[in-house]
Amino acid sequence: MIGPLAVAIAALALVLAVAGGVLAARDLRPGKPLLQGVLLLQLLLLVQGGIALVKVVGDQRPDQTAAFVGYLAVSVIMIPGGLALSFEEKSRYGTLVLAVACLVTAVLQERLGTLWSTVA
Amino acid sequence: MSTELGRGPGRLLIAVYATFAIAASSRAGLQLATAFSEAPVAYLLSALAAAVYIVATIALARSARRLATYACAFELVGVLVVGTVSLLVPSEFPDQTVWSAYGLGYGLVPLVLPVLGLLRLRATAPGRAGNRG
Repeated sequence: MIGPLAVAIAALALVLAVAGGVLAARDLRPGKPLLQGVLLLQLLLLVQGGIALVKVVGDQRPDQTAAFVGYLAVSVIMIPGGLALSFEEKSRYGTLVLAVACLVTAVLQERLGTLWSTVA
Repeated sequence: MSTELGRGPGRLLIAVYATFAIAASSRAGLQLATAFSEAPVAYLLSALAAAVYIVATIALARSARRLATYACAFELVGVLVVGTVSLLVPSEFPDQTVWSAYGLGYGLVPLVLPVLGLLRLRATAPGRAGNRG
Protein backbone atom coordinates (compact mmCIF):
# COMPACT_ATOMS: atom_id res chain seq x y z
CA MET A 1 0.00 0.00 0.00
CA ILE A 2 2.76 2.43 0.89
CA GLY A 3 4.78 1.42 -2.17
CA PRO A 4 2.60 2.83 -5.00
CA LEU A 5 1.74 5.96 -2.99
CA ALA A 6 5.44 6.57 -2.28
CA VAL A 7 6.21 6.23 -6.00
CA ALA A 8 3.45 8.70 -6.90
CA ILE A 9 4.65 11.16 -4.25
CA ALA A 10 8.25 10.83 -5.42
CA ALA A 11 7.21 11.47 -9.03
CA LEU A 12 5.22 14.57 -8.09
CA ALA A 13 8.07 15.80 -5.87
CA LEU A 14 10.57 15.40 -8.70
CA VAL A 15 8.35 17.28 -11.16
CA LEU A 16 7.97 20.10 -8.62
CA ALA A 17 11.71 20.13 -7.93
CA VAL A 18 12.47 20.49 -11.64
CA ALA A 19 9.78 23.16 -12.05
CA GLY A 20 11.24 25.04 -9.07
CA GLY A 21 14.72 24.73 -10.52
CA VAL A 22 13.57 26.14 -13.86
CA LEU A 23 11.80 29.06 -12.15
CA ALA A 24 14.90 29.77 -10.06
CA ALA A 25 17.10 29.69 -13.16
CA ARG A 26 14.81 32.31 -14.69
CA ASP A 27 15.11 34.39 -11.52
CA LEU A 28 11.41 33.92 -10.70
CA ARG A 29 9.52 33.44 -7.45
CA PRO A 30 7.38 30.30 -7.06
CA GLY A 31 4.08 31.02 -8.84
CA LYS A 32 0.60 29.86 -7.93
CA PRO A 33 0.79 26.57 -9.91
CA LEU A 34 3.98 25.54 -8.13
CA LEU A 35 2.63 26.45 -4.70
CA GLN A 36 -0.57 24.52 -5.40
CA GLY A 37 1.52 21.56 -6.48
CA VAL A 38 3.55 21.79 -3.28
CA LEU A 39 0.33 21.97 -1.27
CA LEU A 40 -0.96 18.83 -3.00
CA LEU A 41 2.37 17.16 -2.30
CA GLN A 42 2.12 17.98 1.40
CA LEU A 43 -1.46 16.68 1.48
CA LEU A 44 -0.32 13.35 -0.02
CA LEU A 45 2.56 13.20 2.46
CA LEU A 46 0.16 13.66 5.36
CA VAL A 47 -2.18 10.99 3.99
CA GLN A 48 0.75 8.61 3.57
CA GLY A 49 2.03 9.44 7.06
CA GLY A 50 -1.41 8.68 8.51
CA ILE A 51 -1.83 5.40 6.64
CA ALA A 52 1.69 4.23 7.45
CA LEU A 53 1.35 5.13 11.12
CA VAL A 54 -1.92 3.24 11.44
CA LYS A 55 -0.30 0.19 9.82
CA VAL A 56 2.79 0.36 12.01
CA VAL A 57 0.72 0.73 15.17
CA GLY A 58 -1.27 -2.25 13.88
CA ASP A 59 0.68 -5.38 13.06
CA GLN A 60 2.40 -4.45 9.80
CA ARG A 61 5.97 -3.47 10.53
CA PRO A 62 9.02 -3.14 8.30
CA ASP A 63 12.30 -4.67 9.57
CA GLN A 64 13.73 -1.33 10.63
CA THR A 65 10.61 0.13 12.19
CA ALA A 66 12.38 2.94 14.05
CA ALA A 67 14.21 4.10 10.92
CA PHE A 68 10.97 3.94 8.95
CA VAL A 69 9.10 6.07 11.48
CA GLY A 70 12.04 8.49 11.52
CA TYR A 71 11.97 8.92 7.75
CA LEU A 72 8.20 9.24 7.91
CA ALA A 73 8.43 12.06 10.46
CA VAL A 74 11.05 13.92 8.44
CA SER A 75 9.03 13.45 5.24
CA VAL A 76 6.10 15.29 6.79
CA ILE A 77 8.09 18.31 8.06
CA MET A 78 10.29 18.77 4.98
CA ILE A 79 7.86 20.84 2.89
CA PRO A 80 6.61 23.09 5.72
CA GLY A 81 10.25 23.71 6.66
CA GLY A 82 11.15 24.55 3.07
CA LEU A 83 8.17 26.88 2.74
CA ALA A 84 9.06 28.66 5.97
CA LEU A 85 12.67 29.19 4.87
CA SER A 86 11.75 30.26 1.33
CA PHE A 87 8.91 32.57 2.31
CA GLU A 88 10.96 35.61 3.35
CA GLU A 89 13.60 35.14 0.70
CA LYS A 90 12.44 37.13 -2.30
CA SER A 91 15.35 36.25 -4.57
CA ARG A 92 15.69 33.17 -6.79
CA TYR A 93 17.25 31.38 -3.86
CA GLY A 94 13.89 31.30 -2.11
CA THR A 95 12.54 29.33 -5.07
CA LEU A 96 15.61 27.10 -4.99
CA VAL A 97 15.05 26.30 -1.29
CA LEU A 98 11.58 25.02 -2.16
CA ALA A 99 12.99 22.99 -5.07
CA VAL A 100 15.57 21.39 -2.78
CA ALA A 101 12.87 20.54 -0.21
CA CYS A 102 10.94 18.77 -3.01
CA LEU A 103 14.09 16.93 -4.12
CA VAL A 104 14.80 15.73 -0.58
CA THR A 105 11.15 14.66 -0.31
CA ALA A 106 11.62 12.46 -3.40
CA VAL A 107 14.77 10.89 -1.93
CA LEU A 108 12.93 10.20 1.33
CA GLN A 109 10.21 8.37 -0.62
CA GLU A 110 12.83 6.09 -2.11
CA ARG A 111 14.08 5.27 1.41
CA LEU A 112 10.54 4.80 2.74
CA GLY A 113 9.58 2.55 -0.17
CA THR A 114 12.69 0.40 0.31
CA LEU A 115 12.14 0.05 4.05
CA TRP A 116 8.45 -0.72 3.62
CA SER A 117 9.21 -3.46 1.07
CA THR A 118 10.43 -5.66 3.96
CA VAL A 119 6.90 -5.85 5.39
CA ALA A 120 5.79 -9.46 5.19
CA MET B 1 26.75 43.52 6.89
CA SER B 2 26.32 40.64 9.28
CA THR B 3 22.64 40.23 8.34
CA GLU B 4 23.64 39.38 4.77
CA LEU B 5 24.84 35.94 5.76
CA GLY B 6 21.44 34.29 5.64
CA ARG B 7 20.09 36.15 2.63
CA GLY B 8 20.18 35.11 -1.01
CA PRO B 9 22.41 32.07 -1.55
CA GLY B 10 22.95 31.97 2.22
CA ARG B 11 19.29 31.08 2.65
CA LEU B 12 19.75 27.99 0.49
CA LEU B 13 22.90 27.11 2.43
CA ILE B 14 21.02 27.28 5.73
CA ALA B 15 18.22 25.11 4.29
CA VAL B 16 20.68 22.41 3.22
CA TYR B 17 22.54 22.63 6.55
CA ALA B 18 19.26 22.26 8.44
CA THR B 19 18.41 19.20 6.34
CA PHE B 20 21.75 17.62 7.19
CA ALA B 21 21.36 18.52 10.85
CA ILE B 22 18.07 16.62 10.88
CA ALA B 23 19.37 13.71 8.78
CA ALA B 24 22.58 13.28 10.76
CA SER B 25 20.99 13.55 14.20
CA SER B 26 18.18 11.13 13.30
CA ARG B 27 20.68 8.62 12.01
CA ALA B 28 23.02 9.06 14.97
CA GLY B 29 20.19 8.86 17.51
CA LEU B 30 18.91 5.69 15.95
CA GLN B 31 22.35 4.08 15.70
CA LEU B 32 23.33 4.94 19.26
CA ALA B 33 19.99 3.80 20.66
CA THR B 34 19.66 0.52 18.81
CA ALA B 35 23.08 -0.81 17.84
CA PHE B 36 25.84 1.08 19.66
CA SER B 37 28.05 -1.99 20.25
CA GLU B 38 28.09 -2.97 16.56
CA ALA B 39 30.19 -0.03 15.41
CA PRO B 40 30.93 2.35 18.28
CA VAL B 41 33.49 4.40 16.35
CA ALA B 42 31.22 4.97 13.37
CA TYR B 43 28.22 5.79 15.54
CA LEU B 44 30.07 8.22 17.78
CA LEU B 45 31.35 9.96 14.66
CA SER B 46 27.79 10.13 13.37
CA ALA B 47 26.82 11.85 16.61
CA LEU B 48 29.75 14.26 16.33
CA ALA B 49 28.83 15.09 12.72
CA ALA B 50 25.24 15.68 13.79
CA ALA B 51 26.36 18.09 16.53
CA VAL B 52 28.57 20.00 14.09
CA TYR B 53 25.72 20.35 11.58
CA ILE B 54 23.41 21.65 14.28
CA VAL B 55 25.97 24.21 15.46
CA ALA B 56 26.73 25.29 11.88
CA THR B 57 23.03 25.68 11.03
CA ILE B 58 22.34 27.84 14.07
CA ALA B 59 25.53 29.88 13.64
CA LEU B 60 24.75 30.60 9.98
CA ALA B 61 21.12 31.44 10.73
CA ARG B 62 22.10 33.86 13.51
CA SER B 63 25.07 35.26 11.60
CA ALA B 64 27.48 34.18 14.31
CA ARG B 65 30.43 34.42 11.93
CA ARG B 66 33.24 33.16 14.10
CA LEU B 67 31.28 30.14 15.32
CA ALA B 68 30.08 29.42 11.77
CA THR B 69 33.66 29.56 10.51
CA TYR B 70 34.87 27.16 13.21
CA ALA B 71 31.97 24.79 12.54
CA CYS B 72 32.48 24.76 8.77
CA ALA B 73 36.26 24.33 9.13
CA PHE B 74 35.81 21.50 11.65
CA GLU B 75 33.30 19.92 9.33
CA LEU B 76 35.67 20.09 6.35
CA VAL B 77 38.50 18.51 8.37
CA GLY B 78 36.06 15.91 9.70
CA VAL B 79 34.77 14.83 6.31
CA LEU B 80 38.31 14.67 4.90
CA VAL B 81 39.76 12.70 7.83
CA VAL B 82 36.78 10.37 8.32
CA GLY B 83 36.40 9.95 4.57
CA THR B 84 40.03 8.92 4.22
CA VAL B 85 40.07 6.65 7.29
CA SER B 86 36.81 4.97 6.23
CA LEU B 87 38.46 4.00 2.95
CA LEU B 88 41.76 2.89 4.55
CA VAL B 89 40.32 1.02 7.57
CA PRO B 90 36.86 -0.11 6.44
CA SER B 91 36.72 -2.63 9.34
CA GLU B 92 36.16 0.22 11.80
CA PHE B 93 33.19 1.37 9.72
CA PRO B 94 30.89 -1.63 9.25
CA ASP B 95 27.99 0.82 9.08
CA GLN B 96 27.78 4.14 7.27
CA THR B 97 28.33 7.54 8.82
CA VAL B 98 27.43 10.78 7.11
CA TRP B 99 31.12 11.34 6.42
CA SER B 100 32.06 7.82 5.22
CA ALA B 101 33.80 7.85 1.81
CA TYR B 102 33.60 11.67 1.86
CA GLY B 103 29.82 11.55 2.10
CA LEU B 104 29.33 9.50 -1.06
CA GLY B 105 26.12 8.05 0.38
CA TYR B 106 24.74 11.59 0.48
CA GLY B 107 25.83 12.55 -3.02
CA LEU B 108 29.10 14.06 -1.74
CA VAL B 109 27.09 16.99 -0.39
CA PRO B 110 28.87 16.66 3.02
CA LEU B 111 32.15 17.39 1.23
CA VAL B 112 30.86 20.35 -0.78
CA LEU B 113 28.79 21.92 1.99
CA PRO B 114 31.61 23.16 4.30
CA VAL B 115 33.47 24.57 1.30
CA LEU B 116 30.39 26.52 0.22
CA GLY B 117 29.88 27.63 3.81
CA LEU B 118 33.42 28.98 4.11
CA LEU B 119 33.14 30.68 0.69
CA ARG B 120 29.88 32.29 1.75
CA LEU B 121 31.43 33.51 5.02
CA ARG B 122 34.32 34.95 3.06
CA ALA B 123 32.14 36.61 0.41
CA THR B 124 30.02 38.35 3.05
CA ALA B 125 32.86 39.24 5.44
CA PRO B 126 32.58 42.84 6.66
CA GLY B 127 35.30 45.03 5.10
CA ARG B 128 36.72 42.02 3.33
CA ALA B 129 39.38 43.90 1.35
CA GLY B 130 42.63 43.57 3.29
CA ASN B 131 40.84 42.38 6.42
CA ARG B 132 42.81 39.49 7.79
CA GLY B 133 41.76 39.78 11.42
